[in-house]
Amino acid sequence: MEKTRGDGGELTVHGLNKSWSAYKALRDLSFEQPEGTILGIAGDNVAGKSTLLKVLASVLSRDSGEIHFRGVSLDDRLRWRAMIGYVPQELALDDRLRVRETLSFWAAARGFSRSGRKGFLEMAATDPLVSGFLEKPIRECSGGMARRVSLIVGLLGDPLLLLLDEPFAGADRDSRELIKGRVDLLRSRGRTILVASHEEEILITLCNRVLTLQDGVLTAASAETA
Amino acid sequence: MTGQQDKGGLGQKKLPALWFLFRRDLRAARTALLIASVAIFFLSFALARLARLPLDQETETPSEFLIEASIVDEDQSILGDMIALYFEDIRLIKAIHRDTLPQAMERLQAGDILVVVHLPAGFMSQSVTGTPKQPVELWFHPKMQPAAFQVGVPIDQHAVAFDYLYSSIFGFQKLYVDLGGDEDLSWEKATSHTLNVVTAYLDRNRFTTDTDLFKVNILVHTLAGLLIVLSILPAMGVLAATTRIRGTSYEDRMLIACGYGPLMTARLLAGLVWWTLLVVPLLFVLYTGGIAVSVFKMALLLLSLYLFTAFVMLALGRIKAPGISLFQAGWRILIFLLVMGGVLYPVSLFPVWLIQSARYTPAYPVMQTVYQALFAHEAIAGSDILVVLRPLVPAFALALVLGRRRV
Repeated sequence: MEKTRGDGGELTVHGLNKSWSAYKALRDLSFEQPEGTILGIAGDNVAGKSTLLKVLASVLSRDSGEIHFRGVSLDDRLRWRAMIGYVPQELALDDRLRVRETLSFWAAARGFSRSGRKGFLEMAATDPLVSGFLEKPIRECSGGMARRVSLIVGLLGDPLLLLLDEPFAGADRDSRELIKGRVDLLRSRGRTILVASHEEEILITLCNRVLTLQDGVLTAASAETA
Repeated sequence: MTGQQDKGGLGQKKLPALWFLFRRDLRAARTALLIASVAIFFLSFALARLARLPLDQETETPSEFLIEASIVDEDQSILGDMIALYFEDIRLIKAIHRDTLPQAMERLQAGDILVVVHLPAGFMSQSVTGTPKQPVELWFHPKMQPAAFQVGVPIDQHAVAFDYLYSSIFGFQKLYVDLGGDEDLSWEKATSHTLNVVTAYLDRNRFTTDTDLFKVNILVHTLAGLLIVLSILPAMGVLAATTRIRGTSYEDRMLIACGYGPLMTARLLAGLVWWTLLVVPLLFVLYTGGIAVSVFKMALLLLSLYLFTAFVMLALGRIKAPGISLFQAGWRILIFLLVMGGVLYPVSLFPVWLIQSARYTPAYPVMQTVYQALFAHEAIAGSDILVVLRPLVPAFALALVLGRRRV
């Protein structure tokens, strides 16, 4: 029996193309990422990093290409979305809400029941990422604090595949360390993580492998580290 | 720290999302809701007082719109009779007096009439030869300037049109005679033809031919119109909520978290709260005041209109139209519905083809049914509700097809 792509737990992307009219954002992109590793996506602005993550997050359609993770195709939207967590480049938070309300809101959006939300908030109260400012309104949070809240929202539902788009943008040194520490912890728990960033140094220290995109084309791939 | 997602079915998972989205939308609009509540309270209070007024009076032409006119026909030709006939056929004009010039001036000074039309002696015969020496004169009552202006404008337009007709036809006739044609025959035919043209012109250019404009009870029309406007206004909130997060990362996240269904439903529900706040108190006051009889059916009609407009706005909010402000497009749709529904003006003011078109627009049957129910204090028939519910089906399909975000 022929083996299905990605049924070994890895993420496989094969022949991915995405364009807007004449502009080709992603060109014949193919790569595989083993489960429980962090893959860095490096590149300048408009290289196609965010486009790639949006396609993988199933919020942007693709022109062609096959994408599988743990044997599930991206076309199976319900199952795919149940497996992923997406942290977009923009904060995508309602700045009228407090951090606690934000977490409760997104937990509800993710389908948590009342007791599930309560348990989640209890965990948040002890989580170093957000425990210090749960009652702070989002609009009063610093860039780093807001990034941490955004990451926690992306982690809701304990996703198997985590897509982080510029997770360190606007974050101070402490926030960066906290975020890096959490990403590292998730890897150790077997989660598969994609991190897109234009800060290549961070990617090199954090990721098992780094792919470099330029004008939508994969131009370099670093050797995989343990 | 990730939490544990519940193992419930898809519907069960989406309910908390829907509830939270709904609450968030309401919370965002709480100040506006409060202000609207106060405004509606005062409006309801005003309506409660209004309910004591006898709304069913003045079912025919209101007296303030009726005018009288005087014709001073020194010409004593067929033209004077034609003008009198024409005026008599206009519902706006209550009476036509055939006076001498002093009598007419006396009436005008006393304020009994609005306008005096003076046809000078020999006007018709001079016109036939294309050589009128004295013009037709109009005098308006000086204290009724707005009304005089309104009457004066169409009369001026008619005068210009007559002038053009006469110049053309008799100019051509004169040329025919100059070229050697039979003079008597040409005069006879030209006169006959002219009168036919003038008659046809009058028939085709009446203010309204068969109108219910002046049968409309303005107070009831305003009440019905107010209910319609308040019913469809919340749909603009649906559009605003749709366009506000369209294409944003926030929407991306929401799409992954719970799909697009709860977002659409939450917007509809938030709009429904607005609808309840704006419409239900007024319906209650109309019911307790004895103006509205079948208040539940009326509410159903108005609710269906809200849903129709909201479905359209859900679809509009996701249409890709670069360079077009969707919010402005939404307002235009709203105005279109109000105008074609006869909410802003009675549709009888429209040309016939437009009246026929208006009957197929969703607000029209609601407006007619609500107006009639308020005016006659009568119950609404079930068949009237069915007619109104019909456009909901295509609108719902439109919202499902165009209103959902597709990836």
